[in-house]
Formats: sequence, structure tokens, C-alpha cells
Amino acid sequence: MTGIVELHNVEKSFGDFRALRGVTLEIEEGEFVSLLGPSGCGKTTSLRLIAGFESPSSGDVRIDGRSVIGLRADKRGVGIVFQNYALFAHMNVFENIAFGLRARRERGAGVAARVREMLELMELQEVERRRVHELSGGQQQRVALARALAIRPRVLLLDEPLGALDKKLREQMQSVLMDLHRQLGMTMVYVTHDQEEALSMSQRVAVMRQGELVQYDTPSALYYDPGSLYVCEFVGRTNVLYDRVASVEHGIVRTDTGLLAAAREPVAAGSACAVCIRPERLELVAEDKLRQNALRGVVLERIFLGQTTNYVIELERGGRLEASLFSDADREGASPGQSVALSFAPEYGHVFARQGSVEVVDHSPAAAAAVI
Amino acid sequence: MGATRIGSIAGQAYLWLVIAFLFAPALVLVAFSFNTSPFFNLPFTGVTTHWFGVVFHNPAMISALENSLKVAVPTALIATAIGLMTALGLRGASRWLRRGVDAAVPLPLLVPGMIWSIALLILFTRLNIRSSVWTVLAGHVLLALPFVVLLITTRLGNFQRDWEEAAASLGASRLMFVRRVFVPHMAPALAAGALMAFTISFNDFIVAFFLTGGGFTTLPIYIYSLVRWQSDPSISAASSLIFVFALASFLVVAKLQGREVKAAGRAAFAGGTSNTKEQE
Repeated sequence: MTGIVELHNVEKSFGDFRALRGVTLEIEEGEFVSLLGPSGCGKTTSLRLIAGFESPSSGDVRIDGRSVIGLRADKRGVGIVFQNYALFAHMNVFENIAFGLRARRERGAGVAARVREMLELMELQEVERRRVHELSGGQQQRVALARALAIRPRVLLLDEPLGALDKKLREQMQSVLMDLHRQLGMTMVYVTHDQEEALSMSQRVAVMRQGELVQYDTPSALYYDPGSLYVCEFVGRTNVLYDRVASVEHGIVRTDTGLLAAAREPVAAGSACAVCIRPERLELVAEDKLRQNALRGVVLERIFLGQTTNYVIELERGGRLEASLFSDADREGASPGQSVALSFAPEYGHVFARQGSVEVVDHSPAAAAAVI
Repeated sequence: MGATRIGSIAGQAYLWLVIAFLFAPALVLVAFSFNTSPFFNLPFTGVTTHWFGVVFHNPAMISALENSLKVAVPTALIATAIGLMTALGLRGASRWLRRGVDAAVPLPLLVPGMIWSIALLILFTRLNIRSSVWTVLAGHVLLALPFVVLLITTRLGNFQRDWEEAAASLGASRLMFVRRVFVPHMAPALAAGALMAFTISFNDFIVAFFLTGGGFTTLPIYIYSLVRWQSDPSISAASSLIFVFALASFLVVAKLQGREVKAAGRAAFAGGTSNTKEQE
């Protein structure tokens, strides 16, 4: 099984800066994949390697199973939408969209028909003869999409295309993009630093950090089964409690403060760890029913959001927690200033080794038992 | 409210006064070229286009005009070509080089034309190059270059680098990118630069005066000699024609790219090019 786009062990350095460190990534035909990470993580560099604007220092880039190393950008048949759209300012909308077709030596009625098709697809018929600077941000965005799609690319690359738009327009364009993906069944690779955007739009998300691919998975897998503290903190909201491992048994960690949670990576007794709990996994528990994972504290803030109510709680053990609980019509819930006890089921707590104190240990139940 | 109103009326009056002061000499010149009297005397004796006829039937005048064109057209082409290459070269240059060029380019604007001319004359004499159409051409290219470089650099500053990649991703060859994206974007600045260089060369008196050998007379020099030896309104007719032509070409330049002209003007006074990049 090979993907339509593949990066194999790709390294890319700019002088002393290692932009990509051994990235291997496979994107399947028709898939919507996001490259997610903060600026400087290598997501845009990856995109530029696929487009052909950069070539890797080592490793291989394949499109349709064939290596494209040395193949110029204009021969790759990859469409790209730039962050600032890069529309040709001296041309009108029609000419912009027709540019790629003319580059392919298409002429006359064929070009006009294809451009009209794109104008219709992106609902741009009214602005066909307008100059680029006369268009709104959202219209420019749609022209950029139409121009890239007109050439029927094998893959469409999108480099933070919604970055310059306001929130409402962003949401509109997100659904336009997803509709397009559904209609055309086209492979799309989307670069973003906005995790919500990546989660809501993509079939798979590649989380990147400092030039490395940290985790490549479906949005729900990233959310529920984060492979690292970094992914857990970066994707969705999470509470992080710093602690120390007391013992490990059957993959369940008991910490020095008595918390029980599932080990997400190998941790050794005595080492520093982080326990992550999603806000919606916390429950308010009456003091007499509190059996495990007791987190006591005082409510600082209560934010009613309709379906759910968010609490910010100052913990006795230090630090703050965010809890998201279903609102209850009959009860007010805990009010600010009130002392409360929270708990969570051990399987919903993720334990990661704290960075800098990672020790590789035998993770088998037998070894864990021996430690205890 | 009343005070500001009066203030604004006073301001307007002042503005018109300045404009009148600037253009009055030119208007007097134009007026005299239509006067029937062969002397620059008031009152006007009548209106005629006779003097324009005199201008066009003067073989020496026509030959001077031809000479002026022989210098101005190559000046425009050479200055624009050098300007474009300079601007392109500066894009990839180090900061120090860019600063150096930024400082050097406006120099011909700041140093009095006569000093340039004398310097060039000494240089050419030292190099044993005799004054001719070529020395005038060299002087005029130097004179025009600051404006051309400033115009083209500013326009190039508005060139989005992404356009190059966008064109490539759409399948455009290098040639198609240059023909369909780069040149069309740069065209207004190239045209404006060329026209400006042409006008500077065509209007120049000082450099031409110092650097022409005896046998090569440009139009301004010929008119100057007329003023000295035989003064009649055909001089003002010829001058009026040059004035109208210069005004027209300036308007065309301004129309071609209002913003760049302004930016280049600012840069000329600020003495820099790369700090004037304006966003589209």
C-alpha cells in the first residue's frame, strides 16, 4: 500500500538549522491531512518539499509512487494555495484562473469552459472581470483555490490559507474547503498552527515539533490516545498535574500523591511524571463517595456555557484545574468560593514521563510487579 | 468654526500664490510665443502661430532636435536597463552592499550638475576621450540613473516573491513567468523610468554644455546660443514646445505609477531606496 504523497526519512537543513529531522509521512489518495504545529516546526518546509520549492538534504519525496527529487515544481502537477494567496495583481479573476491552463498550452474555448466551471464551483461568477485588489479577503481566497484547482492537480497543498481571514470568514471557508474535499475527492494537505482547525477538518493530523513528526493519527486518536505529553497538551484542552511515580502495575501508575492513572509511555518508579486529565473527564464527587483520585480545592470561577459549565478550581495541592461538567437544570452546581472534591477514572488520566528525566525501563507487567 | 474657515481660505490663497509663482515664468514664455511682435515687449500686439512655423523651418533647430533625440533615446534605454539590473542585483545583495548602493545612487541628485560636468570633463580628458555624442550620453545616463533606479527598485519591492512559486506550481516555465508575470508587473516602472530618463536628457543643458564637442549641439544648447545672438519669439515658441512636452511626459509618468513616483521622490530626499518599499 503506497500513498499518493510520501516523505521517506526526509532531512532538510538551512545552514545550521535543521528544519526537518527524519520525517516519514504517507498521505493516501483522497485524504485530507493536516500538518499541525507551532511556527518553526517544519510543517511549511514539508509542504514546500512536496510542492518542489525546496529539495530535501536527504531522504526521498514521492508522488504517485515515483521519486520527485530533482523534478521542478512546474512539472509536478501539484496545486498550492498560499497564505497571502499570491494572486497575480495585474490580472483579473478570469486571467488568474486561466493562468495554469495557458501554461499547459490549452487555448480558446477549452480554457474559458474550465475557468467558468471553476468560477461556478467557487461562486465567483459575478467578479469574473474584476481586478484582484477589488475583491474581499474571502473572494481572494476563493480565487486562489479556483486557480489551483483549475489545473486538476493530483494533490492540493494549502499553506495556512485562512490565516488572514477573520473568525466568521474562517469558519465559512473551512466548510467551503470540506465541501470541496467531499465533492472532488481530492487529496488535500493543509498546513496550520490552529489545532481546532486541524481536528475539525482533517481525516488525519500530523503533529510536528522542532522538525520531527511527533504523531500521525486521526483527530480522535490524537485526542483520546495522545502518544506524548506534547501532543496531549497541544491537541485539545488538558490539565497537567506534575507528580512522581511511586509504582507501576499493569500499566497503571500510582503517584506519590496517590493518584492512579494509565501510563502512556514507559515510566520508572521514582521518576518525575505528568498526569494529564481532559476537563470533561473530571467529576464533582461528594466527600463520602470519594474513593480514588481525590482532587480537593476551591472553586475560583464558574462559567455557564449552556450544555456544559466550566469550573476553574484552585487545588489544595497547588495549581489550577479546569473542569467541564454537564450543566444540571435542577442544581446550581458548585459556586465560587466553595470547597469541592473532584475525581477521575484511572483510565482517563494519562501519565507521561517529564521531559529531561526520561528513563527507559522494562514496561512488562512482570517487571512492573518486580518494582512493587 | 469661522476662524478655521478663514484659515482655510487663507491657506488656499497661499497655495494658489505659490502655484502662480512657480508657473508664471513658463506662462509668460508661452504667451510671448504667440505674440506677433518680434520683440519681447508689452503690450501684446496680436496673436499668431508664426513663430512655431519659424521653429520648424529652421534647419539648425531641427538638427539640434535630432541631436537631442540621438542622446535622449539611448539614455532612456541604457538607464532603464542598468536600473533594472541594479534593482534585481540588489535583491539578493548583502545589507552592506545595499546600503552602499542606497547611499551612492542619489549622489548625482545632490551634487550640483556643474560639478558633475566638470568632474566628468576632467575624467574624459585624462582618459583621452574626446567630447562627442558618447560623452554626453554617459553624462546623461549618470544624471538619469538615480531616478530610474529609485522607480524600479520601488516597483520591484512590491513584487511578491510568492508569485514566482505560484507561477511554477501552476506549471509555468521560467520564460512564461518572466513574460506573463514579471514583465507586466514591472512594465509601468520601466516605462516611467525610460520616459523620465528621456526627459532628463532632453531637458539637460549643463552636462551637454560641458561635454559636447563643438560639432554636437543639443536643443537646449542651440536655444541658449539663440538667446545670445538673435533674440526673437521663435525661442519662446521652441521653449514652449519643450515645456509642454516635459509637462506631458511628467503627467504620463505620474499616471503610470503615482505611488512609485511619490515614493521615489521621498527616497530621493531621504537618500535611500530600500526603505521606501510600499505595499500594494
